[in-house]
Amino acid sequence: MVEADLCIVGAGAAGITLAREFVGHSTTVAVVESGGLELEDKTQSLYEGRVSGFPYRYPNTMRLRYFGGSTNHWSGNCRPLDEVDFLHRPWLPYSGWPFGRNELIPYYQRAQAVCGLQAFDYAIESWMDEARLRNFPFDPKKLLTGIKHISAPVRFGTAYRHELEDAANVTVYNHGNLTEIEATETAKHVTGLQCQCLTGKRFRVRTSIYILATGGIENARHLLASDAIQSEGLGNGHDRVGRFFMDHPHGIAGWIVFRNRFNIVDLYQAKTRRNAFVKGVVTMSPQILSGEALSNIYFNLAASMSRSEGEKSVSALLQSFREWEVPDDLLSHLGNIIADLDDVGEAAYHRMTDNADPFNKLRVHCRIEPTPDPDSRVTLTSDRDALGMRRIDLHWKPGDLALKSYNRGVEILALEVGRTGLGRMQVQPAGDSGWPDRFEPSGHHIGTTRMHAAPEKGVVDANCRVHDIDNLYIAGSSVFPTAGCNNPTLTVVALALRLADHIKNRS
Amino acid sequence: MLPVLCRYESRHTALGTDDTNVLAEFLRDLFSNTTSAIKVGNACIAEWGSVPASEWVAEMCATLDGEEFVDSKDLAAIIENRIREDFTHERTIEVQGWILSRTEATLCCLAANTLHS
Repeated sequence: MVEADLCIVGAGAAGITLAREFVGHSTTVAVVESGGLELEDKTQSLYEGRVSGFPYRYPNTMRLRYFGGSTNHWSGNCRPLDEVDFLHRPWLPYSGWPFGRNELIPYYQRAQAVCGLQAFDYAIESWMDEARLRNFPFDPKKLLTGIKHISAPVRFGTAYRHELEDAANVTVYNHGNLTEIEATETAKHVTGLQCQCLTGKRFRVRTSIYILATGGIENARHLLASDAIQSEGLGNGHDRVGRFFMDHPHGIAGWIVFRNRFNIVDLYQAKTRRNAFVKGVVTMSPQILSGEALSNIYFNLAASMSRSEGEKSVSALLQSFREWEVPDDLLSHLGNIIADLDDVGEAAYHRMTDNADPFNKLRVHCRIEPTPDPDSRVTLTSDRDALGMRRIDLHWKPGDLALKSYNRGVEILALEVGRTGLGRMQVQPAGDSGWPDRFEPSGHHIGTTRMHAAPEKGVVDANCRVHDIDNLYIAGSSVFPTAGCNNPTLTVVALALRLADHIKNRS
Repeated sequence: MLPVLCRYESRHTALGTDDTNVLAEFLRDLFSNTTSAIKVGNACIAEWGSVPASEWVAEMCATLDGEEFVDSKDLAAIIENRIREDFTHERTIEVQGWILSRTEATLCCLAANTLHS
């Protein structure tokens, strides 16, 4: 029997952030982590399950089930959700958070340091004071330039392991797998957790407060699998658990061939500025999102060098550009580009650089906000894992609005590139699904225990407490009601910090 | 066909003439590399389907109607402006993934139809 004041299940970005917040606090904390300190195939295979909706690389290849969780392979890209992401948008079904972005700002500020970043500053104006930096002259009613910060990236398991080991009030139990959440007969209070090791050893955890921080699929799986009291799953009285699964479709939307203006694209290169590693990104303006009823999109631009024979004509074209002038032979060089598409495309995939040489083109990477849909969901199958737990079926539906928004967003970018005289954009062809063939999910598992003030519309309340259960909380991106289009880790950490404060105040 | 284009130097009356040789001279003057313009034009024609040269001429004339120019530099500036307007008003064509303005695509089609060799 493990006893403490607080149990955190899962030691990824959310779980470790929560545990650190209690170091030195009067609260005793038990952290139960499925894996050990390294990746182990048997533990990782506990994630396995079926996929039935839109093609999806299975989550056991996307998430890591050991101490540090998926921060063991994350890219470190950080950007808070946009203001519009928190709003109810009539054109986006089920949209609207219980609070606005301002509620999270103090936690975003603290999350920066947790993620190994410099001060919270995402205002483009702050980064424009360097004399050589300029942003693209897009119509601000359509496209904006934003900033993202890039972490080292911090591997939470490595960075914070010793802090937790040294903490007198925090104990981490590796190789402990949650198999059943026990509750009172009214299902309004959790009484303990049944846990099991892959060796067969079993133990029980009993604390006052419980937090699930096991990831966007496993959080729902644990609730659904804990069906001893509520046959539909704990906290699932309104059939919301596991529904609204979202991930960000992403991929290469195309290439911008542009003039040779290094000082313009420099802002869009990942570089250290004022001790922060930052990069400009292109986002859609709130006006165009609302005016055209689109979900959110961001474009990440990566420079490519031209080296192939075919691209030499591109290079020649760009060398001839003068600011805001179209060269006399623009059309002829466009002919060369089109005649040599394969080389251009192939090179764009394989050549990136961050040196100071002039850039000929930008590869346009796009990430799209998925559409909340109750039929996009995680359910349990009759298959069982090595612990006897039912495996999941993942039925992902990115949504028609997401596809429409992608197509229109790319079109707007291409139009602005042409209108401003920057150059031309080549877009990826659509595949059979309507999406470009190389588009895929990001591995961001979102929405399956969504937050909503009303129990019939969400699984957790604004404090991330499971509705109608007084001592069970959920941390991680599974509580996001909508996904935005930015990488979720910074928001996951901010919400974990907010939850830690809430629990401390509750105590 | 397009009076405004006939006001100036004789070689710039090309768009308003039925004389293929004059039209070809005009296009050669506009494109420094006609081979590439023809490639783009052929790609556009593959998207749009084959259209008689006279229709491209008519469309180009309509595009430039009302503009005045005295030399090729003027004309290039006018065309650049038209291209920007095309992007503003979403008058574009997608050719092998490239998003091109209808004006530049039309000129290339004209080149492809006129400058076969």
